[in-house]
Amino acid sequence: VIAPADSDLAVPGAATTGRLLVVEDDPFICMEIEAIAEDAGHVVVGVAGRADEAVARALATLPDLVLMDIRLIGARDGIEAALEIRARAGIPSLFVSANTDRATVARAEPARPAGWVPKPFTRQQLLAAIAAALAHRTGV
Amino acid sequence: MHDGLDFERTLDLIGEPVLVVTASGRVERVNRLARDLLGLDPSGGSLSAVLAEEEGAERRFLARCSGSASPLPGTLTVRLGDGTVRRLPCRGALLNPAEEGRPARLLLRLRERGTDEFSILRRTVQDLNAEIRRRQRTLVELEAAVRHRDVLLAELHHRVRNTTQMLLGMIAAAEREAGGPELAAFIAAMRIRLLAIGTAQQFMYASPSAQTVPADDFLPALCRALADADLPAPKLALDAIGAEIGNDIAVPLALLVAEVAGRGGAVSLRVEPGDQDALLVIEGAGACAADWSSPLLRGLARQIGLDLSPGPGRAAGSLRLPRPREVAA
Repeated sequence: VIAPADSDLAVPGAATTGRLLVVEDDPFICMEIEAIAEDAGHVVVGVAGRADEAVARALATLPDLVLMDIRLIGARDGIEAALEIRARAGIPSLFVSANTDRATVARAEPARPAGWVPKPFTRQQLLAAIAAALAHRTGV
Repeated sequence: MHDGLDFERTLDLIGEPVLVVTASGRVERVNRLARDLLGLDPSGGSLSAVLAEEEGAERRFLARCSGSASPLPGTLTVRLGDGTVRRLPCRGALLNPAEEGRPARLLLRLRERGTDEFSILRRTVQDLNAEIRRRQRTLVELEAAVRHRDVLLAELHHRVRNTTQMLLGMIAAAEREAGGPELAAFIAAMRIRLLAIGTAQQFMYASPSAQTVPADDFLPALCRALADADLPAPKLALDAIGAEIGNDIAVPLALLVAEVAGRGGAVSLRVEPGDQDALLVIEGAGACAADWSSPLLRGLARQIGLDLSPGPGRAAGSLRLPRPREVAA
């Protein structure tokens, strides 16, 4: 799990459970992420399998964090969605992806990722990354 | 002698067109090859009649040559017998200095382009340039092929990782929906096996070697993955660094460690230094020790060449791992 990048979103005093948007086109992986997150006390405010759908749901639900896959159904990928969500709503994305090569990580850098969780991940790895991203965001 | 028959024969023996001219540009004699080249015998006439030079160009060349007994290089634009005009390399030198009542005479040797050493050199350079271009094209094609291979490899790796994650998700969903503890435990065992395979696969892809994964990185990652899966974390001691685990045993070794850890009890992994290699010792105590004789564990142990030495209340196996010489030293 890669630590979150520097962020300007620190809000002191907030909790480390949060409202999450899950962007993942594979239903089994999506279910697994939802189950792990909800078991740990997070609230999944929505799921999306396409970039446009992810942007629309992020703007509608304003989650604390987006768990973003990179390969999605459709022409746009998760990096493009993360960039747009970051630009329009200031919401960071935690990339949960099997694409963690150097070129992909560099391409995602402008979105200022809240971290990276390489697939396949364990429950602890995912929860640790979510907690770190939320703590970083809220300054806990 | 020069004006005689011998001189004319001598000129004919020269294997290139030759003209004997005065410094003022009158042609005195030519050899057979010059007559063939020009399509006429210009003897007695003006050199400018067979040239297509700019005004004064050949006079300047003749003036230069009349001062040198050594051949001087130059070019002459010549009207050929076939009606064409060609610029030919030429070497000119003083043949006889001027004497009383007789002007200086010059010898002009024309060279057809095809036999000129400069032409040969130029053709060689052209051939070399063509070879360089051909090799550059080959290099570009090879680089493109390597990039394509890397893309395919990355895509393959992505698919394997994503599919592993998908299978873990499927198994986790089944585990959550399992009707009883026995079924849940069975499904959990499947999940842990898949996790072990996924961990080994990641290291095989990321390793700089195509044949091995580094034990120093792989074993700690495997222990962390098992601990993350709520198994008792194996105790790990790396007393020798630089050991390598062959790709052919990485998956069965990961499965074996996961299997032993999954059966409960304390599991320890220890990498000990050897003379030229390292020894990986796997020990199980407590609940897992009794299971070392199970067909699955024995099969995995046999697959990786683990030398089993069971004892009362504990079981152990050891496996030799290669170490690169510079690390071992």
